[in-house]
Amino acid sequence: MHHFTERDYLSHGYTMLLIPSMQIGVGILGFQRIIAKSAEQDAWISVLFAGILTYILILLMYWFFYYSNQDLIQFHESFFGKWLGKVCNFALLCYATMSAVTILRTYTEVLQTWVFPQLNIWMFTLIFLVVVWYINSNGFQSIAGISLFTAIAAVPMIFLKYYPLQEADLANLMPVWNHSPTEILTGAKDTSITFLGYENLLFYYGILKRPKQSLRYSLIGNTFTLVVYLVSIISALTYFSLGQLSHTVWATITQWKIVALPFLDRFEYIGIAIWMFAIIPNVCIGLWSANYCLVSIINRSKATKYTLPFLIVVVWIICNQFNDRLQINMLNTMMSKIGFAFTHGYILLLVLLAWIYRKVRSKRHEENSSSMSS
Amino acid sequence: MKKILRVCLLSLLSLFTGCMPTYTLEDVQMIQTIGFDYIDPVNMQTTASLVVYSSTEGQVTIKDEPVVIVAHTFQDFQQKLNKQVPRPAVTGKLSNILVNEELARKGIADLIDTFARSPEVGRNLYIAITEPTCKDILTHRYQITSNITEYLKKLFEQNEEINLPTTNIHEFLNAYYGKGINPILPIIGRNKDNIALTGLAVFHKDNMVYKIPQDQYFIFKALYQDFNIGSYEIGTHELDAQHKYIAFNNIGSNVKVKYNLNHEKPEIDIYLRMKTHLQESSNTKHLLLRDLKKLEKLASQALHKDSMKMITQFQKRNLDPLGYGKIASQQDRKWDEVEWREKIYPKTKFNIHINFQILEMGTIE
Repeated sequence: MHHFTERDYLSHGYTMLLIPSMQIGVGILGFQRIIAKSAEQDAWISVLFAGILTYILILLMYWFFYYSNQDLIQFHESFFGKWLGKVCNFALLCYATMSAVTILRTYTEVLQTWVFPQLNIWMFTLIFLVVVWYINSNGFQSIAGISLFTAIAAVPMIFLKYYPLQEADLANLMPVWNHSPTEILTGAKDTSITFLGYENLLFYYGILKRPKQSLRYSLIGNTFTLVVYLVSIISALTYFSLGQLSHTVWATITQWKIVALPFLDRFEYIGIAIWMFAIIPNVCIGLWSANYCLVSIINRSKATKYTLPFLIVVVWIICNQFNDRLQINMLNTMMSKIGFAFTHGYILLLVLLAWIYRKVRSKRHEENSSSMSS
Repeated sequence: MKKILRVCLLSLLSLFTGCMPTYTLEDVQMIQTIGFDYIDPVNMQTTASLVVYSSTEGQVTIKDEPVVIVAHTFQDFQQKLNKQVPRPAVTGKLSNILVNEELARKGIADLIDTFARSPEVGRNLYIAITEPTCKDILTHRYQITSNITEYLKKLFEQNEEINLPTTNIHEFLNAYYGKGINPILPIIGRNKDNIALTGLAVFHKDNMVYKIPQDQYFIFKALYQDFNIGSYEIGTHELDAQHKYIAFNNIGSNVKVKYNLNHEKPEIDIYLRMKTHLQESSNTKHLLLRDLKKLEKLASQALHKDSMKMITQFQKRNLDPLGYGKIASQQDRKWDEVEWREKIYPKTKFNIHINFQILEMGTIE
């Protein structure tokens, strides 16, 4: 089992930063088109729905923590036993690694399409991962610090919507609620993928100092994400016509195009570069989670030194196996399906399992104490 | 030891920064204006206006140098152009795209797609239709300026402020991909030594199908968007022999459209409110305070007549550049694009309600 040192522990208020910083990543650059496909001008209602659903899922996670009193990795081992628990943790390891790969590769694709078509992916991902390794090797506290960058990058982005909103037509949102609940829920399902990231709390819950008190801060963090997403979707729906939006792959970046500053003609290049600071914490948290899984699977204190570099190399190699739009699109679709199943299915199941676990344990406790007294 | 290694590794990263090809302003050839003419179904005649910096006596002057190339696509053009110029041609600062009327009537879908797709092209960009060939416009030497890009850009910008409706690339793409509206683009012509706006081109899909003459700019804009600048002269000689024309400055025009949602007997009410300052009238004797109400009424009637005439023209051709289909779709929950275009729009009755106010009559009476 992985043991945290005193220096690793983190104040519970940090979930306010960690949750949105994992949620806001590459998805926000182009999620508008995908939701608007089914819910059209009602897409903002879908976003609202997905946000509310995320609140419920976060509450469910805390319900799980309440019953199990430990993070998911430890729970797997104590519930399923050593070997089956390790298998489950291996699945988590794959999930966390692949989410880091997806984020990094998708961001690299944005760079390739918009800024540097000749970009050498091997080189860029290597540089990126060295930075990630550097942050990660200093423990979870520095990751939490880096998470602040997401907020710093996301807040100005809300203000930048001022430029598209000048040319926007609010009447584009009319008529409100003109779609069947199925269409709106399909949109909500597509949005819930961009809300993914809160599930990493299952990994780092154990590192919080007073974890039970972090619920409030997690919910505040999710509210921040919800506001950012609502602003993005409404500005996209009012600025673009629906047909135009369906042709715009990266609506957020296209909107950066019209930001005109006296000293800077084309803001999108700066915007994409700044956005890297929002991507770094994503990859860091993903890799930290993967590393935590791997360490607890290996369970040898000598090996802990080598797990992180090993994972970095794995991520680096997998990242470079995806070469074009088609493959990257496939990767994203696959990961969003797995992520959706993980959050909307497995978390529910976990609550049930943790409830059983608690029942059984308290019973055993009673038996133990009764046998001791007799 | 470990710390030193880490610092060394991180500082090594800074060495990688020069790995991408860089484009310095002095080492590239910027294309700022580009024009496309029709030759045959496969080929286009492309005229690009390149920026040339030359310094004479310490002063840097910017000049345009036109290059004419026959190519099938924009990419093909860029490759052929690069064979003729010493520095790589880039489109990062493209400001104007001109399309010849003949080509526009045949369809410009692939051109639109190219420019909408390219991440290199900005959004601060104008597209315009030309009456003569683009080559004619771009190769002519104008006395007013040596920089045609600046000339065209300023021409569109300052007219957009007044009577020309907003027609930048975003507005065009918005309408082109959107439903219930036909895209519009300004038309320019050359009149000896000047470039002049001569009308508005209305598109059905990617084909130009109709031309709105330039004297209808003001009415079109008043019905198209709210604006608070611009001036207009109404001919009222048919209504009143005493006042042949009234000229005024618009200081606030506001338009509201209401659709009655009746698919059998569709009606659209347009409420146009315009606040103006009177500028001129052909009959100075009647520019008195007591004539104010009469003048307002006269102007309203004339505006009503002109706008009705324009809308009827659109309806007859089943064109909707003012976007009534889009407005109807925002108000009608059962709106359907095909039904609207084929059944409803042609038989829609338009009621125009004009509230024309003259607030001031100048400094003398």
